[in-house]
Amino acid sequence: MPLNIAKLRKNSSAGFNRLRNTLLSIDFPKIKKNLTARVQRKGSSLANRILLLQFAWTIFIYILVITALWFATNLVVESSVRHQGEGWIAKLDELGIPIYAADNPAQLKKAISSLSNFPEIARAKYLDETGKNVLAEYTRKGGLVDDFSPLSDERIKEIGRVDVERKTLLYEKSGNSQMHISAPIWVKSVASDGMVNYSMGKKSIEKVETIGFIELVLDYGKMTRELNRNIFNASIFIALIMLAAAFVVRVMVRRALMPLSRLEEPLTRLANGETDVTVNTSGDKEIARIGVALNTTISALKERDDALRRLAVHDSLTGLVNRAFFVDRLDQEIKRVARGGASGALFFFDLDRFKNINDTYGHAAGDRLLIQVAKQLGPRIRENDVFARYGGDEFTLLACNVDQRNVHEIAESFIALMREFTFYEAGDMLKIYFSVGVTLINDGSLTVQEFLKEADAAVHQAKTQGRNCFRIFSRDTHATTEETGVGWHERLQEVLRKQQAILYYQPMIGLKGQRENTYEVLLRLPDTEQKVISPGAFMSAAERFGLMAEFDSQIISKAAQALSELKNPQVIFSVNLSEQFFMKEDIPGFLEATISSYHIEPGQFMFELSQSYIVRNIEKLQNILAVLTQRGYRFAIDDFGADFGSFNYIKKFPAHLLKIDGSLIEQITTDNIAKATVRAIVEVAAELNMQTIAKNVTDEDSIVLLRELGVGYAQGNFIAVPSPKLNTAAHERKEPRRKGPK
Amino acid sequence: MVFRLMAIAVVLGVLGCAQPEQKPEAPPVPAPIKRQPVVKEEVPIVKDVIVLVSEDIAAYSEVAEALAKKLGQRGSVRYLKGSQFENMKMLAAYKDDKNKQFVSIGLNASVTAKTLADSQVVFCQVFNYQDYSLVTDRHKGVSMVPISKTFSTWRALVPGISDIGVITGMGLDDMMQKAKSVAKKHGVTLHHKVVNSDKEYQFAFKEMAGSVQGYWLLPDNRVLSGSILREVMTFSVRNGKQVAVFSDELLNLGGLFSISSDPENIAQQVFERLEQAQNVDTLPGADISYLDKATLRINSVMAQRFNLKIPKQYKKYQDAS
Repeated sequence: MPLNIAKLRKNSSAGFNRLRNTLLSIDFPKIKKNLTARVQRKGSSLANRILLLQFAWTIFIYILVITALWFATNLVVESSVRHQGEGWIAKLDELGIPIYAADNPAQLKKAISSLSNFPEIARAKYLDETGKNVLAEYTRKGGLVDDFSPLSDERIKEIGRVDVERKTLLYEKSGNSQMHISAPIWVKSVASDGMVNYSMGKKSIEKVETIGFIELVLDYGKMTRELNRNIFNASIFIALIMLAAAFVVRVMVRRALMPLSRLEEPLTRLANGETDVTVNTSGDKEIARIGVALNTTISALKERDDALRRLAVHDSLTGLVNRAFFVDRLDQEIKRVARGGASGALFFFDLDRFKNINDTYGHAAGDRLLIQVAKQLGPRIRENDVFARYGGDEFTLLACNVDQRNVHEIAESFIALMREFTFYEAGDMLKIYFSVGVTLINDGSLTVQEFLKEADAAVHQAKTQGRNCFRIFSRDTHATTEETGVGWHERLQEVLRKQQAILYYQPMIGLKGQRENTYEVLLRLPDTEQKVISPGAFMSAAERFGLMAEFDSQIISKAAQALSELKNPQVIFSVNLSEQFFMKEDIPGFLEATISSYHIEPGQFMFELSQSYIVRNIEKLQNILAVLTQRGYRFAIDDFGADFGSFNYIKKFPAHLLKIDGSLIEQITTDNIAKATVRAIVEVAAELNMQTIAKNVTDEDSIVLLRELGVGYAQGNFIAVPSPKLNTAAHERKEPRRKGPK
Repeated sequence: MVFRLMAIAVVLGVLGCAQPEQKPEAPPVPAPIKRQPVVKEEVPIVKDVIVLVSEDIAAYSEVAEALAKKLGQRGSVRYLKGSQFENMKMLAAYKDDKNKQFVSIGLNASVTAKTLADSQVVFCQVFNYQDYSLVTDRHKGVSMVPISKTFSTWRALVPGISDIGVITGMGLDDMMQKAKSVAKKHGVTLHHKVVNSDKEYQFAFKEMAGSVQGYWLLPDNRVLSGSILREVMTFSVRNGKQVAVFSDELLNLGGLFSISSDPENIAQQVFERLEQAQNVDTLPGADISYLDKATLRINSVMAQRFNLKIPKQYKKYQDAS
């Protein structure tokens, strides 16, 4: 059945158009976007990405190879067809001789008919020397023969050239794998005399003439189809091999990346906080390098972790465990006791007069003291006990497996230890003591806070009862205290909030017949049993909690109120101002407002500042005190004379009175040095136009001596104890006579 | 050799040719003639002969040398060097000189000598003289093709040979007629085909293959080209055809034997024609006189292939292989 070429062409064209439309309709960007989103949702894997990349490269190389193969083979086919064409042209050249030699139809027919034996020859034409007239033609029966444009004059001229060594052939390809070749037909003859001395080796001059042209159409479609089939088969084969190779590579890549995957476990443990992790450093050098780097990092993290842990649980100053750790251990101890374990004890150590050390020698000295105390006590701590710096100047000890008797022994041993301890600072030799509060941990039902409060209460009891001693908390005795259960902070806050500060007044009697009645204003706190709490019990807490400024303000307000009620301008109140008070803003404004609201005079107030505070803050105080002095307030330097280096600064300080340190006054009648010191102080004060006040006067003789020395005022429990009411009788006492020598 | 000829030419030129027309006082006695086809009773007036040679190649110079030897002092050899126009200009000087004869060796000299229309010119070593209309009453030639030797040799080598093909261009009817008759005498039918180009030559060669046993290759440059020569020789070898070639080189391509003109024979033929024309105005005799000697070489390889027994007297013509 003959092949319907036209129909075939139509169908293949329609098929091609359908394929093209299908391809054009595919939304490749959307597909890419969806794929990317899918990968991102799932989370990308390095191995998969490498494999994907490798696969993409494989596909790319495959396409490249197949395309190159297709192009190369097509080029080879074309070249081969050209060569074949050249051969056919030579053959047709010979076959066509009858056309040019003689008009011999029979011979021509015979020659051309033989071409039908060669299906690759689609058409052959013989043209005359003009290239226009067809002398003879052969066209293959069946099959499609492409129409090629006839030879143009230019082409005829080009291929008809005889001045070239070889014939010029023209090639033209069609889309249906057909090659059109045009060639001249030459006749040659040796130059006229050339045969006489003819030599095959010697190139003789030949005359060339173009007598016609051959046009040949070669159909290499079959070759092309076979070639394409072979390429297709080869590409399938290559694809299979590449797939197999891809699979092998996949396994190899996964295997190669396994050391990386193995890093996940130790890194996960590290992320979870474990620092006891080691990464394998064997294997490929890249992985080994990562492993070494990770191990270095883990070591550094571990060190930092340990350091942080240490910092988290230790006090940076003393190296002892800190409050948080101690509380946690205390909690564990309570639970142990609750489970039926032996009782323990909680000790609270509060350094006595630590504030004085700080004020006198500075905070650095205070820090050194704390460090030395920790070192002094640390070696005495048993292995299972916990010794902590609780805060400020407070230390705590958790002693496990102790009873009441052990507690006594421990407390006394610690106190004895501190008695042995001497603190050297700025050339001074200082004895440091502490007050110890203890509570037994024998009740697993109490909480950590409750035990801490008991110990704290015991400490305060020790402090109020003379310091340098210990007290053991008795739950029976302090039941009511325990019932209120208010800590110092809350208690002090409540006092301030409710304006419950109680003012006590201790008179300073004039030794020179002064008309003024001066009283030192002292702070007391209300107690639940109609008693008051002396400053020794709560002052350190007030300082620690930063409440001194508020207390000072409340004292000033209450004192101003009292002065206002007295309506006696001769009454002078001397108020102690703390370091924290001078951190307030607009002190002049506050005082002015207080004075104004109570309608009193500034001169009725005298403010006492401790010598140590003045010495450390003289530059700061000069300005503020100058302003206040200008407004009429007076200032006294408290505890003057304890330090011999203190005379210099008073020239710069606008004080009006010097309160001579009590330790000098206590010994004035028995210690000549003390007496001489007092005399010197009085002389200096006189030079500076200052008055002097003697503190802690203990007897009549002291008063007489003080008067003789020229001291202006005297104060002490011997004269009058602090009381909530103004003791005017003290100011009216007669001038005592000095007793005769003993 | 060349120097010698040059010297001779110079001497001759100085003595005779360079001078204006001079009557020789004592004409030299010509060499004794071996054969005298035409015996004249009168003592011939011996004319000087100027031998014009197309170029200095063996095929020409050997003939010139042999001829010069025969002519002795009356002969002078001139190799044409310049352009044809220059050569013609040179020959124009002799245009009216009736006392000179000319010999032209090769096509170039023969065509140049055409200017000497009124002079006696004997040409040789020209194959397709008819193309150039060289033959006139006063211009005649000596064939360069040893026809009879060709067929006698062939018959001697191949006793059974009966049909031989020859293909030429146009205008060689006389020669072909002569050849056919000589061939017939040797019991060979000569099949002649006239073609117009080398392509037709190739075609005719192949066409003829079925009816001949061998081919007689003639040096007709009009219908031969290098590629065609190779083609036909290859065809011959492949198809077992004997080929008599005109050049020893073609033996290497499968020729059975090569046969070419003998310079001495040519010189002799030329000399005889010159002698015959001494006392006449035109050149007597046939337009072309044919050689009866030849230079022969036999390809023993091809002879062996064809199972030929080379006769004893021809063994000396076998090639070295």
